[in-house]
Amino acid sequence: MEEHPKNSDAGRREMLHRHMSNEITSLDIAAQCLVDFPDAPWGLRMELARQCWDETRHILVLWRRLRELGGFKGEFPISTFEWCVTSAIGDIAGRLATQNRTFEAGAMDVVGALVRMVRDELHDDETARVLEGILADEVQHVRFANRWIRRLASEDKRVLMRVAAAVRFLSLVNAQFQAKPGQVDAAGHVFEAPDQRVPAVNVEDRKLAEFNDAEIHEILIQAGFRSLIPEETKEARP
Amino acid sequence: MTMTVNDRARAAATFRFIEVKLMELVAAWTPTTPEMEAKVMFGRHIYDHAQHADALGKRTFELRQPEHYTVPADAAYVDLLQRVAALKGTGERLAALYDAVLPGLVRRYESYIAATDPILDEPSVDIMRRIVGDLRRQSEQGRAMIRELSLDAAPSSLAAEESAIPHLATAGATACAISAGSTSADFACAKSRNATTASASSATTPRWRSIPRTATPDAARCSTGT
Repeated sequence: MEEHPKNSDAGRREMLHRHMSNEITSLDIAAQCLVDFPDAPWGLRMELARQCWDETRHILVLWRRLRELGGFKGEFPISTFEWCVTSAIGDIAGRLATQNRTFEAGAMDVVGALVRMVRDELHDDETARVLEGILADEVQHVRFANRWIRRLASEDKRVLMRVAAAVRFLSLVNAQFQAKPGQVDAAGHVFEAPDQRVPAVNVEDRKLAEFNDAEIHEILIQAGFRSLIPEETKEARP
Repeated sequence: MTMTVNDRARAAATFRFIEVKLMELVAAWTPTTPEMEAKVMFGRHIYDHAQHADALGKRTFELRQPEHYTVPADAAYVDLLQRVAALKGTGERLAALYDAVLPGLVRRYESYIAATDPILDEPSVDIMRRIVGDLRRQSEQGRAMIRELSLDAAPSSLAAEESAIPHLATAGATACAISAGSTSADFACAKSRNATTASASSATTPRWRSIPRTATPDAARCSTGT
């Protein structure tokens, strides 16, 4: 196993490969939801079907960029962590809470920071635009999950218990995989401390995805109040 | 003779049932298909079928039925779809769906388009023509995928089985309009039988006298829009 520096060619390809693999996982999860929950409201099923299409576009555009940079599918190891966690949850609200509202919302934070890093530090505008385009779609995937969880919960309060159980399950899984202080990864590098691994919160996009102020505040606390500053705000500063 | 509003609603509702089943079938194949290229193609076709089902479901509302009114297809056709869904190999999946099921479904949509009143039922015709275009594109993409991946995809006997199923609908009145054949003789016969069936059944078969506005028992979960 090898860990490539972010600013190296191989590091950039590994980043694209990793995101492409995550999009494949997201496609599989959304498709499986259509199979596992045939009684879900038609409007929600339409959103999931649309998400499948979106994820395929993300896979194709990331694959295209990967090839443009000399890479190929299978060039790096992949993880199916999100599939393994989400597919173990047996109800649609729980899966939306885990996959869309947690993993994809987390991806909004990661990709939001990545767009800036790729553009400002790697000076790779094309990759930055690809990631920015994907980010816009992810906002909608998180937003429809937030809307449907609220709607399902308003119709049946027990949905909130299922969402809480799913979030609890995810936190237990995360705890099992949490690196211990000083633990090294497969490439021989010491893992960063947990607080350093939490990405800065993409407040602007989380608002677009209809997280409310209290929810964003809670996420900011978890991230040590680190957040991405919207571009226009940054530019307006002296 | 022009089909009744009820006949047209049931036809749209039956096609909707099939589009939902196809969406679920391709969705089930997506995580279980190892080839990324095929997986991605399935993911794109999921949304095609969802949009088809959505358009047909909105059309049923215009035909005096609940929105997303859905009527299960004939048991033989459902059985065929279930057997296709159970296939495991990527090559046999692609051959069965894109060389057998979809071409047959295209013919059935075209049969309906040829049989219905082109002006009175123009909204349905418009939707179905777009669906036919999508399904033809899907078949072409499926065949190209078999070539691209050099998959073992022997010609499927399912095409003959699909053609041998006379009707999509569960009963005679609308079955003619979505039959496997597409000749004018079929429709002459079909329309005649349709009129006879509708007339003869009006006293003995409530289903053909009026379609209930709520879910029919046999429509099960699909009747309310899944």
